[in-house]
Amino acid sequence: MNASEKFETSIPDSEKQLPKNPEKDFEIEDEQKFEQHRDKTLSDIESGALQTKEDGIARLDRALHSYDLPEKDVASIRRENQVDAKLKLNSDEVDEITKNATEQISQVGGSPKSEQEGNPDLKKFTKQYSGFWRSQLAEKIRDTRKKILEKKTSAQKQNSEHSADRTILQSEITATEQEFNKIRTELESREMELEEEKNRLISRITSLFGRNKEVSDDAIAKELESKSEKLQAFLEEKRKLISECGDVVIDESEIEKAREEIRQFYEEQKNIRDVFGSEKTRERDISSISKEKGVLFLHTLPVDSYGMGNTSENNPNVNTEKMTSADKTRMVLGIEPTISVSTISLRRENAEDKFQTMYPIGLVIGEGTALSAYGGDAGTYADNPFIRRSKYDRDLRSAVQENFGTNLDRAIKGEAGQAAMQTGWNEVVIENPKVSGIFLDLNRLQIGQDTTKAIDAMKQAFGMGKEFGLPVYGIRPNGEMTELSSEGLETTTQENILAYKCELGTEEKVEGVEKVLKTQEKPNIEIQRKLSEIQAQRNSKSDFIQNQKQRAIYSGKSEQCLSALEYENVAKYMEKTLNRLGDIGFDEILKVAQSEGVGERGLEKINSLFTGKTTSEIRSISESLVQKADLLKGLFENRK
Amino acid sequence: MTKEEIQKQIEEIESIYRSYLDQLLELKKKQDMIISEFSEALKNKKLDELRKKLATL
Repeated sequence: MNASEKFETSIPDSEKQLPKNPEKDFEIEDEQKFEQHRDKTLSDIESGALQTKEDGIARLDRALHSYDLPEKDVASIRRENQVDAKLKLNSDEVDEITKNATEQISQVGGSPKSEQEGNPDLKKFTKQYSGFWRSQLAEKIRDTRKKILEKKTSAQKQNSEHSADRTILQSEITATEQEFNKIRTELESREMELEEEKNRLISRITSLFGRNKEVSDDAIAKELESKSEKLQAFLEEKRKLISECGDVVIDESEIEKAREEIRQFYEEQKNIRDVFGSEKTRERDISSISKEKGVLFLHTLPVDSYGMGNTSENNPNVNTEKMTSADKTRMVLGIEPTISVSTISLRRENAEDKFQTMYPIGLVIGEGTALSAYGGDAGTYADNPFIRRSKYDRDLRSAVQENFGTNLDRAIKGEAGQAAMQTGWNEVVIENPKVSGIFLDLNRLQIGQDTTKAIDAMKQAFGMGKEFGLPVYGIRPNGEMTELSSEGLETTTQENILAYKCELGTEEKVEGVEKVLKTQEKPNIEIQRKLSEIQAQRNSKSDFIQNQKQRAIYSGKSEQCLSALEYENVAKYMEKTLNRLGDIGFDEILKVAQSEGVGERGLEKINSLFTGKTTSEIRSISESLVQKADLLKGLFENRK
Repeated sequence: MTKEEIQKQIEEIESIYRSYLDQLLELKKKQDMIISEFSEALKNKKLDELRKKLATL
């Protein structure tokens, strides 16, 4: 008997007992059965509350029609007695205790110890990685429970009506039986009397003279016989009716089916969780994959001069349209959200055909855990900032994709399959990403004759490199990698690139993310939660200090490159002026510049770069800037 | 979780459930009482009506 059955009628205190929960008697020896038991109890609590309320409504309805009073009088008494307010108060209390009990039960065993290191509790795992599928199943189960509850309520109503019908029919049958018995008795006595009379001699004599009583007695007997038959038929009909008024029995196989679905869901999720736990350190580890497969993981960023694609439809958590590329980098470095990346092969095997990025600029991801991989654009959707899943992959049962190794190999080969769109780039979803640098897709930047766009993108890359302390790399489809922020555009290796992972300080992370959040209309709970987590962390590790030193070096390098691109014209002017007028000092150069009509912005640049510098320093700085700018621009010129 | 831990948690759930049913039963009684009082008031009204009718006969 479950709670809903228990509350069909008022239960006297003496009979008050804990309803038997069928699963309680089972030996619950594993977590799965424990979860089922908990779910069952939660369901019983829910239906108990609902049943109590529905019972109240039904009783109130009966009371309203009990005394055949005018509606006006009934309404008036209802008001005077404050029936609705009292019932509402009671109903609220039912809600309150139901909520409390549900919360208490949900918390039992809420944070059990992991079975293995790295394997979170199954429920926690499904909430974190399989929320979408969990919600889908929960919705279905809720729907089933609701339907069963409706059926139960309807059956109870029908059973109650049937019970009343049975009482009436039973009393009719009893009365008919009594009448029938009476007639049978009378009939039998008449027959006996008739028999006796036939045997009497006098009767035989009187019969000769036609005065025969037999006729009338026979007629009565026949009449009684006929009445008896009619009663018999009437009785049979009533008995048939009463047999049709049996209780309606609910088919509870749907509940069993729902329970089986829950069991299957957890079994499937347990497998995914266990495999994920075992693959995390190698098969899904970005650093290991990069080295083993000879690939780089790239997270592209929109760049103004190349058009900003609107991908906000796949991310309801933040309004990406209001975020710049630097804002997006702040978020990645700040909260390490789960992101989509593409791989490029560095082994130069048909790389020209496969290498393509959505935008020509982005972040090189050197660390993280891969959740899924597709050979094309999988249209991944962010359920929250830390969970992304493909909208196209119908086989997916969790954000943690199964058969990851095979899928990754296909993704690297660019085999889109059915779960992704063939776009030229592949898609790998990574959680907890760490940034190793900024990349520029040099071939992509060379498309078209206008180098202004390419230089703008380069400026954007160096601007971010300066702000966040990130090296900037030029990458080509043949696997050629150049450190653009290095002195002489040195060729670099995958190993060098992946050796560095940028780590911002706690305050810097929070400040950066909060800056981005100011651009957003609505706050995001998950981001706030992550920020609180970050704020609780401290930066005291020695490798963090080392990382900060490296950041400062990369920041300085990027600043130099940015200056070269931004001050190239001023540097050229300074060089030209010094060559023309000889070794004159800064003040004289400034006067010449003013007299020659150099604009306000130009003068500002001269001031900011050369104030207080000696003539030889001015010459040296100018030469260096021009040389660097030529070198960087040459990257595009050479390949035209 | 060990078997013992699971059993302990099952007992904890049962205890919460039992306490919930006690509270729910009390509220059900309270609900029944509210409706009974209302029903009694309706009955009294009907009796008053009948008495009035009798008085006029």
